[in-house]
Amino acid sequence: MSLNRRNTQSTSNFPYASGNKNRWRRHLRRYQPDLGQRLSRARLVYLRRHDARWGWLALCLFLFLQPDSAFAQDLHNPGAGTLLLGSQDNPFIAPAVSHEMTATVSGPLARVEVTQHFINPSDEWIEGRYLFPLPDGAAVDRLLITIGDRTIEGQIKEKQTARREYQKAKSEGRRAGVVEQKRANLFSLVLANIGPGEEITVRLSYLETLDYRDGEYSIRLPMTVMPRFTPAASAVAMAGPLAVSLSPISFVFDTQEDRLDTPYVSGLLASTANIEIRLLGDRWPQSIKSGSHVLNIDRRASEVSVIVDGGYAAMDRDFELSWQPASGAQPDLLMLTEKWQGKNYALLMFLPPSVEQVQALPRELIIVIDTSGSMHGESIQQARAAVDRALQSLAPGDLFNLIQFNTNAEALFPAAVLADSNNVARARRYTQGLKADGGTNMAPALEIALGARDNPGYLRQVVFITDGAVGNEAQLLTQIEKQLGDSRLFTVGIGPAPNSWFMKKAARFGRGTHTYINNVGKVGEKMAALLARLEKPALKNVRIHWPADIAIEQWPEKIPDLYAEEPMIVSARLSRLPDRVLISGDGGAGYWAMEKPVNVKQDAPGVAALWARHKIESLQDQAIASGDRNAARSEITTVALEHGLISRYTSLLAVEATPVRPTGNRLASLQIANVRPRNLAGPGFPNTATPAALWRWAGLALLLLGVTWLTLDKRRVMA
Amino acid sequence: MNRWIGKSLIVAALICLLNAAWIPAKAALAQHLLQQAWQRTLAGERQVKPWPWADTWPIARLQAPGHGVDLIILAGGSGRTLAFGPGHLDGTERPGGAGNSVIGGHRDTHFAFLGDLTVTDRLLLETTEASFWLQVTDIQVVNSAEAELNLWTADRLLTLVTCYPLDAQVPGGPLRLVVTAEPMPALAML
Repeated sequence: MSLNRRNTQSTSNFPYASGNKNRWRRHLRRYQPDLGQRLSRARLVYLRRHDARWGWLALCLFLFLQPDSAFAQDLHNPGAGTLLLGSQDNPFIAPAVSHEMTATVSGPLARVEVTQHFINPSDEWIEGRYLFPLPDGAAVDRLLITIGDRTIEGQIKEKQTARREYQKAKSEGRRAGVVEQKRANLFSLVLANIGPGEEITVRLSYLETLDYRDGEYSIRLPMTVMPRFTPAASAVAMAGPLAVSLSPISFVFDTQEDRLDTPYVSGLLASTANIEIRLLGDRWPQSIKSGSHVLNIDRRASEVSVIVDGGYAAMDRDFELSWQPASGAQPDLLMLTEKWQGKNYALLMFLPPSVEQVQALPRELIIVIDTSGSMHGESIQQARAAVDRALQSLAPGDLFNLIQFNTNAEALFPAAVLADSNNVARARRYTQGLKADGGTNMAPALEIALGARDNPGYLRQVVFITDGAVGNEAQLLTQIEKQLGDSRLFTVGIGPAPNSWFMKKAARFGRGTHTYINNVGKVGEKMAALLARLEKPALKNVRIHWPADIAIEQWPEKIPDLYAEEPMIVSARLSRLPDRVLISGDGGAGYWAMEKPVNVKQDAPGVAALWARHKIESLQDQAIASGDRNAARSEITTVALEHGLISRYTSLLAVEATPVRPTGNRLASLQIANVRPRNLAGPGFPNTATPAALWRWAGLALLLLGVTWLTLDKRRVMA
Repeated sequence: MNRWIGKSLIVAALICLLNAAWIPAKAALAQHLLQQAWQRTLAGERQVKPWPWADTWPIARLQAPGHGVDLIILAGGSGRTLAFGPGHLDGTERPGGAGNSVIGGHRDTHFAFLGDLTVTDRLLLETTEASFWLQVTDIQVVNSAEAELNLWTADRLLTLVTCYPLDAQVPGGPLRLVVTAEPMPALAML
């Protein structure tokens, strides 16, 4: 671990002007000669801290990095192995990247700036490629690339146009960078024409609305990308029979154009990030805590600054922070507004009342647990604990069933059974024996959970516990949309880097909610909150009644069911701002309505961009539900271009006007590795011995015994 | 009465011996059926089940010319699959792909030949897309309780795994013989 810290510090405090090769070499000489020594120390610490299954990998890397004397002069030669991992044809730098993330939070809005420093340690002109995660709802609207004292700003372009212009700039030797959306929560950055020894700073900025639940705001900064399993034969998954085996599951990171083949560096070379969260407001928020990292909190006059203790956060897990707004600072109806290009935009956040209401309907709780290989390690323990918790929450009159899935899906009971003590005990025993192995093939499990015949009079709630490491997300969402009926789907995200975009989406399509657990210690608390919510009546058929003379365009168009302690967030574009707003819905006790004067806050920059982001998301959802992912291409492109946002069809492109790379110098390509998520163990070794020899020995022994017996018996008879 | 005990011991012994003989017989017979399924796979069919109730299918063919070995690789590394042929482990790269493709096989049947391999031995891998030569670059014995398969690579690797020691009498030991092979450069084949 000492290695990580020192490397990152040395790169982020990189003291020399860029482009100066000799200084860069001095820098290398200063920092690298003792690398072998530090590695062996790091390795020991590492092996002590992690269990032995990492040992082999660490040892391989250690041996790979060992040749001490050759180090200093080999480092700036990309073909020589050493610190550059990978083959000669496709090398990738591990530690020459550092990250800074600064989030400025005001109420439910966060503006996050991600700064990435890249250093080209080679003697060549390179093209750098990098894949990075951002939160699912992020509205990415700014890109700045700085080389030395020159800064180029990104412009929004249609994706193919951006690619063409990038290629053109690249071949002409001009500097260029393009940020594309690969998946809803995964982005790629490509940089062309980085000179030898040059340092490049890339600043990306996005807006998001924060999660507010159970009286707490939370923000999550994703740090690493989880490898996704895409069933190789996923086309069969939808139509095929339930028990069909879809093996072989292999790492297919590929959905046509979106190749996701980032290699991982082991924890030994893990990068760290410098994180700061600034919580603005006149009154300090309370209970600021993180389940993922140790914090250092600094309370100032009109803000609270939170940094990771020691300044650097390990990037092998997502950073998570939660806090409670100062008491009284969170009204149950909040409206933020912005006037942008002559139009009014509003972001409405509404907290449903916590109704004291007895649940009228008994429920049918279907618990689905992911036991695929990606859940191996701490994740499966968390999942088992979560299932156990849910099982214990069952009331005697409830129905329940338990389904596990990896490559195949298996239900404990053929149909939901009464939650009597015998059945529950059986399910709890079954849970204890669950092991993580095989691929992630979610479709059959959803089919069993949602496709079971209805039990009239029961409210079917499906609790789906997984890390969501799937690649065929759109297909699964379409399936949920089709099969949901009256069921409700609640997703529980587990593990160090769950695919939370998919799980939030699944919950939205399933008209339920999503819960994220990143720490075994939190399972009890978070599951209790979810289970309590399941028991609370929802506010259904929620509507916002805007004054009749206002023209509005509101996203989402149809508001999902609301659960207590969980806010509704709606974005709207309005011809004028209303002074009152009426919200109605069907509560457990019948029709419910609330009219409130709108407390319009002063201009909140970002509300317009978030409206556009919500519109894009809603259009995308509709397209997915219709079965044609590209159905809304032109509409999404239009709104994304208008508001300058990255989307599936638009990218941010920054190009410099004048060439920098001398003609004749070739451009090499570097792929920068992601840090592998903590606890992610690969598939284990197979068991490869047959009992043939054992049978043979047993057979021979029995034969000997039998013959002896008969011989002795004969003798006795004769005697 | 006593005679009956003696006779049942003999019958039990014969059952055990039949079981012992059936394992290698099944392994050999299955490979014969699999060769046919593989030919159909090469002809363009997908997921060809070698027999109607099979839950696996051939995905590649591995030959070790110097050792008279010609094996069909099956999808999946479960015990049921391995009885019929070496199995490709779910979650690892497909054979021939850019990454580490891990294949497990039984030490006393299909993968008994791993013990005879030496570094620089050549293997011929046939997939539905191409055939290519591989060269054994590394042979190791590892403890499966501690070691980890290296799946985080973009190098084209083929890793063959079987239990070790090869002649152990009791199954379930922690040691594995791990043979790594890499594609040969086209020129070296000449």
